[in-house]
Amino acid sequence: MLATGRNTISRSPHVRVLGALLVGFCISWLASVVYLFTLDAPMENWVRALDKQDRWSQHFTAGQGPRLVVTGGSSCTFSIDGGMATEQFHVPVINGGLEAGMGAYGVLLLSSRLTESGDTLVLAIEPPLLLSPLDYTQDTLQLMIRRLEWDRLVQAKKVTGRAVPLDSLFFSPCPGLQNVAAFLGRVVTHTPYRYENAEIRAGGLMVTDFRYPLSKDGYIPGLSPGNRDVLLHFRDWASHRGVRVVYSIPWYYVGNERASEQKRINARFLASLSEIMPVVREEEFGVQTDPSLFADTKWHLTEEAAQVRTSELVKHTLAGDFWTADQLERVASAFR
Amino acid sequence: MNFGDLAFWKQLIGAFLVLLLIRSIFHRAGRGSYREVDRPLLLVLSLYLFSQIDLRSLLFFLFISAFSYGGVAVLSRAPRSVRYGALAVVIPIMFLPLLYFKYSGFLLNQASSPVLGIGIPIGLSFYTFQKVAFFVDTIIFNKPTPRLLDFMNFAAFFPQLVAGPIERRDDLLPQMQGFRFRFYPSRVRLGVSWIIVGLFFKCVLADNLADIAQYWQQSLDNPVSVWLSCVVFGFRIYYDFAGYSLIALGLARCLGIRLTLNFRSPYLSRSIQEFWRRWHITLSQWFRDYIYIPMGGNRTPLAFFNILVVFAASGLWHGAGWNFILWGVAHGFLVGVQHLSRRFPFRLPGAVGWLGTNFVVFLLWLFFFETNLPHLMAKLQTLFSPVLYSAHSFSAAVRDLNRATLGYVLAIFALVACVHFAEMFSEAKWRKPYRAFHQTWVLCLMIGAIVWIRTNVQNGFIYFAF
Repeated sequence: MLATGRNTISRSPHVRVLGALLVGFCISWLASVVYLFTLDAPMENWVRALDKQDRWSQHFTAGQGPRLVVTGGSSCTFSIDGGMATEQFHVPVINGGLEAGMGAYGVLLLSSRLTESGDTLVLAIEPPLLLSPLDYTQDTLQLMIRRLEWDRLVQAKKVTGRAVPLDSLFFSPCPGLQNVAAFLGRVVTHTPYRYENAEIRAGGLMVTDFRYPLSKDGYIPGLSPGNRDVLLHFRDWASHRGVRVVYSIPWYYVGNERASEQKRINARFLASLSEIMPVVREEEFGVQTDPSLFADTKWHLTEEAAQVRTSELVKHTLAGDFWTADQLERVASAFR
Repeated sequence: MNFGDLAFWKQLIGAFLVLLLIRSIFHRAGRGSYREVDRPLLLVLSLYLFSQIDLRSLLFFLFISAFSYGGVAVLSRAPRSVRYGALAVVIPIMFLPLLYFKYSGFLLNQASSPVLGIGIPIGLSFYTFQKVAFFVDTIIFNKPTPRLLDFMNFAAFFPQLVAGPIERRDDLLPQMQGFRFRFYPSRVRLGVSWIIVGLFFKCVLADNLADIAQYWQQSLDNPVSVWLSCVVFGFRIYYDFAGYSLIALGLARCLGIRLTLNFRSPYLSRSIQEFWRRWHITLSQWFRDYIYIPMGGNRTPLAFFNILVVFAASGLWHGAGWNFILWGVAHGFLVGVQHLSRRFPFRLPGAVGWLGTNFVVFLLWLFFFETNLPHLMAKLQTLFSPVLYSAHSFSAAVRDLNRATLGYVLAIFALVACVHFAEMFSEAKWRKPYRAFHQTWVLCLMIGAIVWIRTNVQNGFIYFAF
């Protein structure tokens, strides 16, 4: 099968080249692992955020009554003030927000660590994340490796209905071009990572002083059949553990001229979601037209806006204020 | 086969190890020489990998293959007059599945063509053309009918089954007939090189370009945004498809099989004709040999019309939509004009030709990705409205990008520029496409790039949609 004598294989220049390529791969891989564990500022930031979430969550365990856990991408991280809400409503409120790079799959998987029997889990996941295929992302794997969450990786199939192939962990150390370009940009310009000095409150709210101009465009929400199955599985798994799962659409900035249309398509989207889980009744359907409520992106709120958003969400959830599918369809038809 | 998916490589390596074991057991048990088991095992490997994509598509492929082989076997024994007459019946029948699955929705103005609960069988566009070519070559040119096993290996050879290259009988069949599982270090080294280049093109370049395309594709009234979306898409589709073809080339080379290099740095072309000699070469050659030349080729006064028809068909092959047909016709028009102008001694200087060629090629990609006709017309109007070009349109195109995203976009453009220059260097120094990429240190850089800067989100190969 090998078309050259064994004692000449090692001397073959082609074999030496293949060996060099293998060495190159190993060095690259090791370097990426070192980078992700020591130099990756976004990773450090999210590890810090999750550590704080864990500490806040542990504050309210051991028989202190049911809690409200809110999770989603960074829109949740930057819009839910768990500390303020706990004080205001006398119910433990935990911000379990992550970032969009984790994908909805990562959000579901990592939220499972925060919930206990009797809790209500509010999925405040950005609708575009539900439109993409619900599957693990490199960011999710990297974060879980970084935090040594092996048991959660193994339980992924039980939680979401989709397993994480363990061999994918080997190829997960991949910073990505955006990350590397940002890192090099920071090194060259001596500027810190955007959220390096962002304040992470005890209740999980992340606050930033960065402000950027916001476009007025809307987005298209959706739920594919595959994603519907994952959400159903997750809901059933949570229910089995005594955790109630509901959905709340995050706040998003659109221009005035697009607000009505965005509300209509959001209402349609929520109507389809209401077949899977209760949808918190919020009259604006996540559509906001006041740019002063937003920080550096169309999903991230200022501290003051976050407190308003949190109050409304917690109030409606505790009161059991949920939309029915008929109501949502009627509302969708009313927006023209 | 989704070469960008880790699952494919796991399946390939796993199946390969099992086959080697079976091969060894057969040989030791004295049930046959390696020569006798290698070809059946290659077929088993190909069919197994196809089954992992979609079992129903595999069954459909087997049905089509059986029909094709049966037709060749029967007709090759018939008198010439019967053979030629039968071709006129058999070839349209061979196109019927493609017509039904891909075009009936378009023709009947429906969204999809459902039948038996399956969408378009994977690879149908590619292997239909391959089988038609095989059919014609065997019947018209009176070539011997191969054994069923060799035909099936020719048709099902896994690197090229799903998305080409569209291999011809004369190129691939003899290699299948003499196939052995033998690994020469030189071939494996070259094969691995091609695989690395292909993965770099796909996972680093194409997928990152797909990531940034979103920033400009929606714009209807900013000419800079529209141009950026055309350029980004043009490079994305090139690296995506060329990446796939190079991985296929590399896999085949590791097995000792030579496939056709399907792309030869098309954006170095200095004329539109040259572009089509460098882009999706096997498809272009198929249309030339089986449509254009039978219609009369260059030797008929209707050559210009024939070129238009061929390119319209090529556009239609890519997708069932008027935008694809317009794209094909536009290319055909330009190729036809160049064909007519060959009598004139005047030639454009190289740099001007290169600029002009790339200008029209990237402009015409707009027809390819903008499937909404009103939006397409609006964007064309925007591109050809001089008053809309201003400093404001430049700043508006990047206004919504924060600093980090702008840095990311610039990094991608810089990467594309480096790769483009490397392609130019390969042509200038060695007169061979992609030669510079086979240097060991360049391959190591590419490996580093694949490990470090591939996207975190997996995109499928664009040409799977065709």
